[in-house]
Amino acid sequence: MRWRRNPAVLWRTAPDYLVLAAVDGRTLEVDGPGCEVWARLAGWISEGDLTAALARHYGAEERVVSSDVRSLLEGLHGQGYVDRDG
Amino acid sequence: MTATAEHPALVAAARHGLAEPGSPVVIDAAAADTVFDRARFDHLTGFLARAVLDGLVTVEDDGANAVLRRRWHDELLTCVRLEGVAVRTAELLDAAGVNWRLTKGAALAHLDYPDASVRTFGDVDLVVHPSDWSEAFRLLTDRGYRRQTATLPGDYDARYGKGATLTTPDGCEVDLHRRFAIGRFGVTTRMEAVFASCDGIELAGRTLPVLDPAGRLLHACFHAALGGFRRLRAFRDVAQLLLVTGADWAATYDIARSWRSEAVVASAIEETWERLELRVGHPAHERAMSTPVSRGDRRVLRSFARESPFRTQALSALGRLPPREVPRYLWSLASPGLRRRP
Repeated sequence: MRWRRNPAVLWRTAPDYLVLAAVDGRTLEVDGPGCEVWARLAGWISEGDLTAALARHYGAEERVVSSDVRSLLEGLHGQGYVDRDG
Repeated sequence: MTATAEHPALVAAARHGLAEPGSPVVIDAAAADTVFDRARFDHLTGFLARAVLDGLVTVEDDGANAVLRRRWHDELLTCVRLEGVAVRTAELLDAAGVNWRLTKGAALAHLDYPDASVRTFGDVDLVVHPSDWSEAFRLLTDRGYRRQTATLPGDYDARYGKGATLTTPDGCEVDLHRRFAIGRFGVTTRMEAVFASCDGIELAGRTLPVLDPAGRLLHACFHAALGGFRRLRAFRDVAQLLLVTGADWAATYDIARSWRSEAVVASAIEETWERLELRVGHPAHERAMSTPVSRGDRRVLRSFARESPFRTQALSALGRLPPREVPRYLWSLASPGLRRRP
């Protein structure tokens, strides 16, 4: 499965902070590693590659990172902030 | 021009990335609220937070550090909401064939700053071509945008006005500029000049037209020299466009000269170097320092710097109007009971 940002989303990041907005005015704030996830979603990326990159970045095991990443992506996808392929 | 005393931490934040940093500046716990309030008022919070992250500024109290981060996040939330407004407004204007450009906040954040999150803003600024301004205003007010101040009677707004500040139905502010200033340096502007070319930014999958770098620099200079909030961020924008973007400052001077407003650009650049304590050499600064400024221009620049009332600023145009237009101009300002902000 691959993921990327929805190009129609407006966003800003700061350390440990991500804010997303839709043109209709809806917004979502994400604390913690959301900004690191978002930075890697500029183009399509497989979930495996994304998890591996984040695990390396945080020095954590992939199996620990994996479920949190999936949960975040599913949440963002449910609100239209990220696209899913496959 | 008169410089307002600023906390050294704000100066350090506003010049961060433009010059060699000095010794780290400390914000003690007692001063933190005042400094943060000042930063928020000037949309300097992102610069201050970045300076703290990079170790140029130290906040003594951990709680105050958390407050600063929270305030930065609040401003970022405002920015993305405003960009939604900008996109929705663009859809309306483009559908009607209005010739317009995005300017200031969102435009500079995306095109002139390496990290858009540093340059926060509190409204959406649009410049509309003179021939389309009335149509744009009608279009937006028909869609529920409301003007914040009364319209002057007669044709002051159309012939001499700076534009209108509108509030969207969801409470966001949109500045619809028809000129960069009122008064002496406004009545001689020919805004067609800044529509000769165009940049663009992509927001939410839509390309929005933006003033080109010379036009952005011109607007930044007008704001820094004549705007209502002439604080550090305004001068940082001027410096950013000159030192980082590499805007065609000679083209900016050319337009300003054709508007008899070279003193505005020279004054803004000179004060930028002074307020941000820049020591770096730049030909635009050298030109600013050697630009002759007449007594009349200097007097009006000082008046704007003091944030004089609207009527005082508007009356500064009298010396620049053709004599036959003066009675009409005075009449358009004479109506009692209306109070305007510059």
